[in-house]
Amino acid sequence: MRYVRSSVKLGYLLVLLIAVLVAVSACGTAGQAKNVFESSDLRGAVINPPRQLTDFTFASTTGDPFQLSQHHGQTILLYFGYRSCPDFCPTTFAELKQVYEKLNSPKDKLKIVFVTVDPDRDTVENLTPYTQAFNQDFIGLRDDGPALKTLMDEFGVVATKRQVGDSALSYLIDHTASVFLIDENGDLRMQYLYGTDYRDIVHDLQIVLQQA
Amino acid sequence: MKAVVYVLLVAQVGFFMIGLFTQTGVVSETADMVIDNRTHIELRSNPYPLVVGSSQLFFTVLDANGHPLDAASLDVKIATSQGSSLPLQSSVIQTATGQFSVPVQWSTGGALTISANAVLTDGSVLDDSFAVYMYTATETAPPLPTQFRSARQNGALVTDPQHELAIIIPQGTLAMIQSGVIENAFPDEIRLSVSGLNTLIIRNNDIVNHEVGPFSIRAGETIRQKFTIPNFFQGSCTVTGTSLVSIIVEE
Repeated sequence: MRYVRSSVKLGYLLVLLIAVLVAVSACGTAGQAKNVFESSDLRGAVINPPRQLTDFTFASTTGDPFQLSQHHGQTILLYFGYRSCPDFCPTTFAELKQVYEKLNSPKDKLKIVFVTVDPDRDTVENLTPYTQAFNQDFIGLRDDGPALKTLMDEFGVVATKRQVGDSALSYLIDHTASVFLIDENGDLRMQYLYGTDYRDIVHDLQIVLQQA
Repeated sequence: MKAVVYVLLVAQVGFFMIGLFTQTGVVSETADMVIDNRTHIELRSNPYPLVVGSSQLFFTVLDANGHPLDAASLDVKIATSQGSSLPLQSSVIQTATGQFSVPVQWSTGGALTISANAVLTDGSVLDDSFAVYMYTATETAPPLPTQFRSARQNGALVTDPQHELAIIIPQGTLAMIQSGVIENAFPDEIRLSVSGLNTLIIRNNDIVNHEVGPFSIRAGETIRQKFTIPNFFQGSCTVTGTSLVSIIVEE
């Protein structure tokens, strides 16, 4: 009987020890995460303190809805654009393709996401071949409700239609062309201005993903 | 050299609010970490932000670990943007270890500097100052900032003056632009170079969000961008008289 009690006590102690080790380990990770974005060597615009984002769920080209909170633990590069954009969007996504491939397609750690600012013309169906033409892992998102405006406001993104023809659908959209980095906590941490060399993004992600 | 130019510019146009801050000594951590690791004075207020009428200022002297530090006394001075001193109508009261408060009565709005001078129990002196804005009507403050940033905190933004340019958007900037007190709270053109001054730091101490070209900077946020290639950005700006700003990055 005494032996059984001792074993139970030992068991409790073991569980306690494991819990303490897990907690210490988690604290260590959190500390590292903080330090990564405090590195003065990062080449994107670092936002301090991290900007908390409201959770959102948009229709996605994966076939399942994309919910931000479901991707905590992953780093997300997010870009606002539109499928018929003649210049900024294809250029930026060609750069992001290089970024992703240079990093050996870290599918589990990094998501590259295209949010359309043109839900009138872009559907999940026609966004799928568009995003996948750059890389099969790239994800297109669409929302035609107020959630899109809310999300754009949180990022400080603007998009303005500019008519270029007679047809109601003949327009271009002047829009913010930055790539935004969302960290593993779902917070906005960095912004890459249009024209950032893809090697600079690779450089930063090698640092950021190391701690993810 | 550029630091000197900006300081002269600030002096010439009388925009004491545009701050370009440098600090000697290189540290590896970012500004906020440096502040966290130093003895400093924190200022909060009720209401926040300050508004004409009665309010209360709360000062806390903190040690390197962020714990209240025993201070024998705290002296507070308040001055207008023109440098005139405003008399305090009550004395500073110590409320707890390292914590002081003072009730104040404000009759006019505008930019003010609150200076605090703490004498610690070991006889050493710690001083700091805060650029604050007195609003004429109650403002709804966003979640950030929750306290005033001090001159030391702003000064700690730059750890490498050879490569970093820091520009502060002071509290009350939008109010001052809207009321016509100032036309410009920010340079229309920012020139940087990859091989020299290559890092732009913009801190928004105002209580509203601001747009500065490609950057959307929330109240209380600081953005830090290191440029590695020549580039040119022009965009709308909520803190320049022309509503435009250019960021030119040369070789």
